[in-house]
Amino acid sequence: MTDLFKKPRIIIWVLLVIIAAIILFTKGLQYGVDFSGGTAFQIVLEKPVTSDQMPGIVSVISRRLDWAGLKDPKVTSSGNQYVTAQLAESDPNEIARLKNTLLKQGKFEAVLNGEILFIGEDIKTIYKDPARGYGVQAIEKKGASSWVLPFMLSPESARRFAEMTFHKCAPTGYENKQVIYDCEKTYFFVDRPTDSIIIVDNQTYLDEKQVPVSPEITGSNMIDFTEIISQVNTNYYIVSDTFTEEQKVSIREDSQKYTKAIVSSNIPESLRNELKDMGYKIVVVNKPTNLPWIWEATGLKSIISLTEGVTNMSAPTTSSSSFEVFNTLTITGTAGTPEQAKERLDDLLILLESGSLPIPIESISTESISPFLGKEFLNNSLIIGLFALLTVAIVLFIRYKVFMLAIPILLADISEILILLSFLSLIQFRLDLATIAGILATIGTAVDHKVIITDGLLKEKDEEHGSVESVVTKIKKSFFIIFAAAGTLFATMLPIIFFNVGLSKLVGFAITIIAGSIIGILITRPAYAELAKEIVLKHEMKHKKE
Amino acid sequence: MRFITEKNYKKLMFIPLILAIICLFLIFITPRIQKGIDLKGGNQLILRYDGERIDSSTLSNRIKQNYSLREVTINETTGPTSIGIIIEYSNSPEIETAKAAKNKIDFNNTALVDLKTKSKDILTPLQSKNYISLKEINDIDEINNKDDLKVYLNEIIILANNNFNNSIINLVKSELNLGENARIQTREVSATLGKDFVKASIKVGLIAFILLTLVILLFFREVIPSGLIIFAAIFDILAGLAGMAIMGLPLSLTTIPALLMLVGYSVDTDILLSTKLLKHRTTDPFTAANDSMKTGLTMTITTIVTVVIMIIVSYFTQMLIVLEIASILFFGLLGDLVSTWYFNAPALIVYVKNKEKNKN
Repeated sequence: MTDLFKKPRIIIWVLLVIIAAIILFTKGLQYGVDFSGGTAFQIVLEKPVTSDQMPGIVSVISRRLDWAGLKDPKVTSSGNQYVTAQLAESDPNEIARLKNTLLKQGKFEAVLNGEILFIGEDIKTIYKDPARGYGVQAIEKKGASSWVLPFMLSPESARRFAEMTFHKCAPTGYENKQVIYDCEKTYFFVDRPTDSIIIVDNQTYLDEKQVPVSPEITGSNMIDFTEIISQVNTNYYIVSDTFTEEQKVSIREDSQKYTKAIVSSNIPESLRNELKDMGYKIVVVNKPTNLPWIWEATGLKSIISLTEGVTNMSAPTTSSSSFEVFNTLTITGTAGTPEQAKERLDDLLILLESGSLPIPIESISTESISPFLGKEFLNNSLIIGLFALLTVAIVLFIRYKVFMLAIPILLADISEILILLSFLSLIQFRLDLATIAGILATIGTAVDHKVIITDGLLKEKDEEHGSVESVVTKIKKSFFIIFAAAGTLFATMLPIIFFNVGLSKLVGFAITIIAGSIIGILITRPAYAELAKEIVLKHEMKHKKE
Repeated sequence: MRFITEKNYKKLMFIPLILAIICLFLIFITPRIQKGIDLKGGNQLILRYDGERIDSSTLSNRIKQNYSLREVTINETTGPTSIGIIIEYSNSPEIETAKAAKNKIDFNNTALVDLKTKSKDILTPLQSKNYISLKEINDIDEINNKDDLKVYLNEIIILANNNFNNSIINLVKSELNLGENARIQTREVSATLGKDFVKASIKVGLIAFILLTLVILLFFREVIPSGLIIFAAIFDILAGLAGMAIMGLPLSLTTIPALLMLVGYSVDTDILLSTKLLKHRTTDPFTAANDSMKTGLTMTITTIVTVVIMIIVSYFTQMLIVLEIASILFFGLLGDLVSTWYFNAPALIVYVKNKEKNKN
């Protein structure tokens, strides 16, 4: 037995099993909607797009879902016409809403002091050209990165911008012989809720009296809750358990003007019902994990400060000859790392484009599984897998009547699944029922190949003709069959992966089978051959002695 | 005892030929294989619940009438511990009409005012079915360019479809008294996606078969034995398809993988046989064939037993997908026994004998 552990095949096998176990233990497995519950949207675009358009489309779609209040949707493209989005939500009403937001372009508005500075349609061009400064650059001394986003407004809106921002900076001091200005802020919204009143519970209000100007940066400047709300031109109410009489009167009056009431999730049911009775449609907004509630409730996406350069500080009046209208504006900022800067730039880019898609969506297909059912699927898959493994071991034991053989058979199968799962975990593949089918198929071919190996070894006894082959030749012969079989399996599965044409489910199946076969023919089946050889030889020796 | 003998081997080959004809009959004539919603588009709702069985024909009629649907089918999949129903229904006729009407509009050569009137006409029937609100129709007045109108119309029709599906789900939920934690699975496949899947499957299938042929030719370098392996794989798929037709399983994204698995299992035994007969033969072809049959039978029977166990366990746990896959494999593997040992083996013997005769 000790000799066995000196064989390279066995050493590699044992090592890989250990590595696989460590990977699975530390990284765990990711589950697709089949097991975690949730919804997969299969989006078909009106026509195929080029490969450089696809990443843009994927990020617009994930941003739209993001704007709909959905954090961490997994959006992937497949082929040149399909996009799949996987989300954790499975409530039919919520799904319908998300599907709707997926189709709709957001309404972008840049707001200064509650008034619209420019909207999405005012932007004529966004210069995605590094020659015009677009892109991310490292700042030498600070080790940080800056990003620049230049864009052009239409002439009318450029003039409106110049007039509205005129003298919106105030000098606050000197540094290095230069005046330091404090400038006003502009607020970038998507779908600003101008049709709604805002009802916030006392606790949320207290938590967010002051919120960061840039929530993505730690140590950001702070801004008042009320300052943000004043950009929406609506009425808001801070309530504890009940409305005060004054609030009631005022809210009732508001119902003439506003149709919806945005409420924080802590607002009790009784108050929501009161609002409904007054004729409001209730929109509940939950607090996102990485953003203040008020950002989510108002659709605020970014706060950008003006700079003295665009506010015509040197011109005395808007009619003076030195008053300048800038058609091209740039937004700049800094971030800790180049990746963060790039992310921020991409965010703003999609924002200014109002999340528009270069190619419209043709249709959306959905598949939705409630989390209860998903959990059941996972448990049942485990049970079925276990039964399959045991059955194989029992049947082969009955066939060969060598009890010891059942052990390497089970070991090889289990290790094959283990290594396969760790591979799927490494490539961050989300397990679904198609993957399970793939694993079952792998066990199936593994059975075939083990039988071929075992029969090849036991052959000698049955054959009456003289030529006794060495064990090595027998195994070599068996592996010719195994390689040929694996080759045909690859031939069947590879087209699914390479001619990826929206069959994303089948792709998971094919990847699992190919990975399983490779692991099988290179690692676990050779290891099984070694173990079986040992056992068969011992078994024969025993029989000879007897 | 030998299965393949000098006496019977040519006769054996008739059995698979007859069976192939029967399979083709089952697949294409009756009961015939159907396309699932993955491939033809449509809606599916799967529910599992603990409670009393319901009268599915009442429910189906109710849905049919409420939404004036062309097709509603309800299948029960009751397992030992819980009750399940699968509802498949066609799209709402009003929405289909609206879609068709929308596609007919010539946006380029029609004035915006006329386009607006047309759009309203298209959407009104959807509003009367309560799939959209009056406001959504009135909002058309505020649109001031053709492109926006086109996008808007598209959006509203998809929205209407959402509401249609939702209202069916809610109807079913309330009929069955299901609460928030209902175990529901819904699927909605657009007709275009279904068509694309069919096209893609055919394309991928053809390429796979060409590659498969090339790989087998590469390993065996002889045309007839390679052709026999491919024939055997086709026969196994036919057996799987015939099984699907008998059980009423449609062609879908779950059943296609099962058929692909069959290719894998099928070639395993055939390659074993061809290798023993052509490459590593030390005895007469009959002995070699019967020898490899022992190994081959062990392979296939082990898999069949495993598949049967999977059928039983997945029936008890109501894992419908595994149940479907395992059932198809069962039929396909039975087919594999026939194709390998009744057809491929005797045909190879004929081939080997002829080859030897020519040599002499």
